[in-house]
Amino acid sequence: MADTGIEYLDEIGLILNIFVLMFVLLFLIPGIERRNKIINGFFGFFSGITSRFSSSEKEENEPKKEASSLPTDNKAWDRSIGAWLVVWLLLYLVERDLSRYAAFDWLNYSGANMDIARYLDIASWFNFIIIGTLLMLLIPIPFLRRPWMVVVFAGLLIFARYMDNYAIDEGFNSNFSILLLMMTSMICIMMGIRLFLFLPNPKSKDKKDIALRRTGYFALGATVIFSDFMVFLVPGFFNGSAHTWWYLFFMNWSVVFHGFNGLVATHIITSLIMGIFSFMMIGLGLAGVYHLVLTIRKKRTFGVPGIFAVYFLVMWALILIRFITIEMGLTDFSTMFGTPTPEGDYSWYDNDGNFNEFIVTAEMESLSLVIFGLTSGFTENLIYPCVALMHAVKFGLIRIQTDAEKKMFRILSLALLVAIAAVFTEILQELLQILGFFNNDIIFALICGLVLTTGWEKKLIDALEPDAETINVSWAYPGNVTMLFWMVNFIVGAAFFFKVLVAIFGPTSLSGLIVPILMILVLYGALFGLNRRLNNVSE
Amino acid sequence: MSANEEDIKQDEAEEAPAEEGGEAIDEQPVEKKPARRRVAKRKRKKKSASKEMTIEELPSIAFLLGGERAKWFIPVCLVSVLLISVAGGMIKWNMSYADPDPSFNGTSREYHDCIAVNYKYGSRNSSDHDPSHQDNIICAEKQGIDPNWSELEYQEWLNNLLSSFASDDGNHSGYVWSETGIATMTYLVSTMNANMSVYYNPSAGDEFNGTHLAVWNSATTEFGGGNDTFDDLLPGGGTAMAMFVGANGIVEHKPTGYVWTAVGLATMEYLFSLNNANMSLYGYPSEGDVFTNEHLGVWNAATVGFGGGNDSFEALLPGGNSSMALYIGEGGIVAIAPTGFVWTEEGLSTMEYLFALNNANMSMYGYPSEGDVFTEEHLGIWNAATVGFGGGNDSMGDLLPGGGSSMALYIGAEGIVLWSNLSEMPSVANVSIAPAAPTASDDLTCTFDFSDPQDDADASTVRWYLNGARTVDDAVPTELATGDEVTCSVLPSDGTNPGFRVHSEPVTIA
Repeated sequence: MADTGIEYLDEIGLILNIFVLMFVLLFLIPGIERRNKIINGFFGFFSGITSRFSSSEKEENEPKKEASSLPTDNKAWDRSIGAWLVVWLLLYLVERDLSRYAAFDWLNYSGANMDIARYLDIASWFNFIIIGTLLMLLIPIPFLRRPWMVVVFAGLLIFARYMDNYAIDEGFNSNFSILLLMMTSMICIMMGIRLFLFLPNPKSKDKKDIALRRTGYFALGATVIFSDFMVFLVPGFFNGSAHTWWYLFFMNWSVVFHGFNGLVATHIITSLIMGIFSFMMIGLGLAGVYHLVLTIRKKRTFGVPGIFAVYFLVMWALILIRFITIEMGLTDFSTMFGTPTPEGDYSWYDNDGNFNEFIVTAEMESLSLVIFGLTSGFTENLIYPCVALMHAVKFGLIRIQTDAEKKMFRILSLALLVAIAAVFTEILQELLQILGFFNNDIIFALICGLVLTTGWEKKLIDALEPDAETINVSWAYPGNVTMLFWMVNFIVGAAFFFKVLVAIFGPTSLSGLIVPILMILVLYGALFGLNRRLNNVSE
Repeated sequence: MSANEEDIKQDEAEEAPAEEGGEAIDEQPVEKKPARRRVAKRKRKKKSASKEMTIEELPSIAFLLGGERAKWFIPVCLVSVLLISVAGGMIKWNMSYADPDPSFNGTSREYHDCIAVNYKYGSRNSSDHDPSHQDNIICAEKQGIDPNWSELEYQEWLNNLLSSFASDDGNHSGYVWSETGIATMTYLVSTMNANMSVYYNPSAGDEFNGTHLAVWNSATTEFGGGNDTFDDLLPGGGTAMAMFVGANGIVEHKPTGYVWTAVGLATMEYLFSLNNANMSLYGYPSEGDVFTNEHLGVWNAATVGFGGGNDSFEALLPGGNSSMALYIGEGGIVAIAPTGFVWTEEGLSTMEYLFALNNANMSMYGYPSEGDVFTEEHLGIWNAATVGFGGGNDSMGDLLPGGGSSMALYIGAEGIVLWSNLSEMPSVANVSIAPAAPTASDDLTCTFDFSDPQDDADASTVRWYLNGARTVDDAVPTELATGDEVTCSVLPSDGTNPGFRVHSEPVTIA
C-alpha cells in the first residue's frame, strides 16, 4: 500500500498533543500579564517576518492593544486541579508516543528485572487511569469529598492492578482493575445518559440545574477518554466473536489452571466489563439520538450535548464498519491486539497436529489498514488532544480572555480541525480507491475548498468557546483545597516520574529504585517550596 | 428613584433566578453588605469581567447521577447493565462452554475441570507433570485420550514440523542467537511452563536456522504473529511480537569476521549521495555491525556497472584490491572483526623462525603486528601449513600459551596468540611518553588511560623500545643520547583478560 498519511497518524497525534500541552501550560504557569507578553511576542515575531514582505508603515501605524487593565485569572480549586489533570493526561500521551521512536528508546525500561518491569506496568496503567477517573470524580463536583478519599481510591486502583499481576502468576485472568475502572465509569455513563434524556433548561440559573448540566458535560467528556479500543469490541460481544472474546485481556485461559470455577469467574468478569462498555455505547448512542431528534424538532438547542451525540453516532458508524468488514471476511485483524494482519500465507500446526492455513491478500491488508486508521488510530491519536483541549477550554479549566489569547486559541483549534479533516479525506480517498470508485486529489481539493467557503471551521471554533456559566460557577470543596491540590498532583505526577526515571536509570535490582524515588520526593519538595516562595504562602 | 438606581435594579433583575422554584446561586463573599456598597461593587465588576460564583452546598451523589428521577433512573441503568452483561455472556457461554466435546463422557463442569487436570498432570510443560496420576487417568479416560497425550502430541508435532523444514536446517541462515534473545526466549517460554528444548537448547552465538524460524512462527501464530522473517527478529525488527521481544531482538547477524568501519559507512553514504540512494540497501548498519554475506552481495551487484562486481571481503579491507579502490578511501569499507585472539610478539617471532626454515615469510598472514587480530583465516592458513608436520587441526585455543597444539614443540612458551573475553576486555587509550620533548637527563614515563567494563583494577604491563629495539626486561631506557628515539607500548590487562596492545608515538631525545 502506498503512503497515504494513515501511517503517520501516530506522528500527527504526537504533534497535536505537544501543541495542546504547550497551550494549556501557557495558561497555567505564567500569570496573565506574562502570558500575554509571551503571546504578543510570539505574534510579533511572525509579523516581524511577514512585514519584510509587505508595507511596514501599516504595522507601525497599528495601535497597541491591551496596554493595561488585564482581567484576572480564575483560581477556583476545581479549575486549577482539572487543568493540571489535563496537563498530566497530555504528558502521559506525549511520553507514550515518544517512547515508540528509536531516538527516545531511553524512555523504555531496558533492564531485565521482572519485578521492576511489573511495577512499571502498574505505574503506567495507574498513571493514565487515575487521571481519567479523577477528572470525573473530582471535576466539577467532587464525588470524593475528602482528600483522604482520593488516597484510598488511588490505593484501590493500585491494589486492583497489583492483584491482576499476582493472579496472572497464579493462572487466573482476573481483570479486577478493568472491572473496577468500568464500575467507576458507570458514574459518568449514567450522568451522560441523564443529560441526554433529561436536559435541564439551558437558561435556568437554578443551582441544581447548573449542577446537572455541568456534571453531565464533564461526564460525557470523561466517557470519551475511556472510549478506547474496547468500544470496537461491542458488537462481537453479542455474537460470540473471537475478536472480542479472544482479545488480549479477555482470553479465558483461567480454565487451564482452575477448571470450571476459573472459567466461570473470568467469564463473568469479562461479561460485566463488556456489558458496561456495551451499555455505554448503546445507552449513550440511543440517548444521543433522542437529543438530536428533539433538536431537529426545535425543542432543544444543539449545544454541548449535541457535539457529544454526534461523536457517539460517528463512533457507532466506525464500530459497525469494522465489525461488518470482519464478519464479511473483507478484513482481518489479530484477535489478540486488534492490529491488521499483514499480507501473507499463514500456516501452523494446531494442538491436534492438524495443518492449518490462512491467506491474507494484499486487498485485505489494505482495507484492514484503512479500517484500523479509521478506528483505533483515529480514537487513540486524534480524539485525545481534541478532548483535552475541549476539557481545558470549553469546560473552563483555563480561561481565555484577551484578544491575543483568543487569537492563539483559534490558531490551535484550526490546527486540530485541519489535521482531522486531512486525515479523514486521506482515509476516504483510500477507501474509495479500494472500493473501486473514482477519486482524484484535485477533485478532493476542490470539494475541500468549497466546504471551507461555508465558514464551518469558524462555527466550530466558536462552539468551542465556553459559556459564561462554565467559566464562572464553581462548587466549594468540603475539605482542605490546598492539600487536595498537592495530593492529586503528587499521586498522578509520582506515577509519571517513576515510570520515566526508572526507564532512564534502568535499575536491575529493587534497591536501584531508591534513587528514582528519592529524586521524585526531592522534586516535589522543591516544587512545593518554590510555590510557597513565589506565591508568598505564609502557612 | 434616580436613573442610577434604576440601572442597578435592572442589573439585579437580569441576574435573578430565571426558573420558578429554583434556588438562587450563592455568591462569594457570602456575608451581607450594605445594599449601596454591594451594588456599586457589582457595577465595577461588570465592566471588567464577569463574576465568579461559588456554590457552597454540594448536591447529593444520587441527585447528580439521576437528577430528579434518580429513584428509578439509577436502578434502571444498573439493571440494564446486568441484563446486557448476562445477554452477551450467555450467548458466548452457550456457543463455547455449555456443551462439552461430544466425545467427552460427562458434564460441562467435569469437562472443564478435566482441562485443568489434563494440564496439571498431563502436560509435559507443567511442573506437576505426572501422567500416571489417578485424576489424570480418570480424565483421560473420559476424554478418550492417552494419559500421556502431551508427550505423544509433542513428538508428533515436532516430527511433522522438522520433516517439513528438513531442507532448510543447515547452518547457513546468516543469523545466530543473541544473548538477549536467549534471555528473552527463556523468559517467554518460562511463562508458559515450557522450555527451550524445541529450539534444541541453543546458546548465544548458535545458528538460528530455518527450523528455529519455523518453530517460532508456528508458536506465535495465535498471538498475532506467524509471519516473521529472520530480519524481523533482529534488534528493532518488525516482528508482530515486538511487545514481547523488546528492542534487543532475538537474533543477530552471524559473524563473518568482518565489520563495518566508520570510514566505510561515510564512504558508502558519499557514494550513494551521488545517485540519491541511501543505506537502506544494507539495513542502515552502524560502525562495528557485521558486514554480512548479503552486504557483500549487494555491494557487488551495485558496483557491476562501475567495473566491479567480484570483490571479496578481503578486497574491502584497508588497502584491499577492490576494483572500486578509486572510490574507497584508504580506510576501506570493512575491518576484521575481533575474534578474541591476538598475535603475540613471541608468536610472531616464533612464526618467523619457523618460516625461515623453509624460506617462507609472513605474507600469507598479511604481515601482522603484535596485538593484531588473529583471524579465522589466519587459523585456516596455520592449519593448512602445518598439516605436513602432523598438525592441521588446531583451534585458536590450542595456540594459547600452554595450549594443546600438535605443534607445541615449535611454539614458544608464550604461545602464538593471546585470548581475551571480548565483552570483558579492558582497553587503554592516549598512550604517550612524558615529557613529550625529553632531554637525556629526563626520567621517562609511559602514560595512558585505562578502562575496563567491570571496573577491575589496572594490571597492564608496559614495554619500552629504544631506537626500535625492545629494552632488556622491558625496563625504562636510562642511558639516552641526543637523537635517540623512544617509544612505549601498553598491554591492557585487568589481571584476567588482556586487551589489544597500543603503542605510543615515538619521542626523540633533545
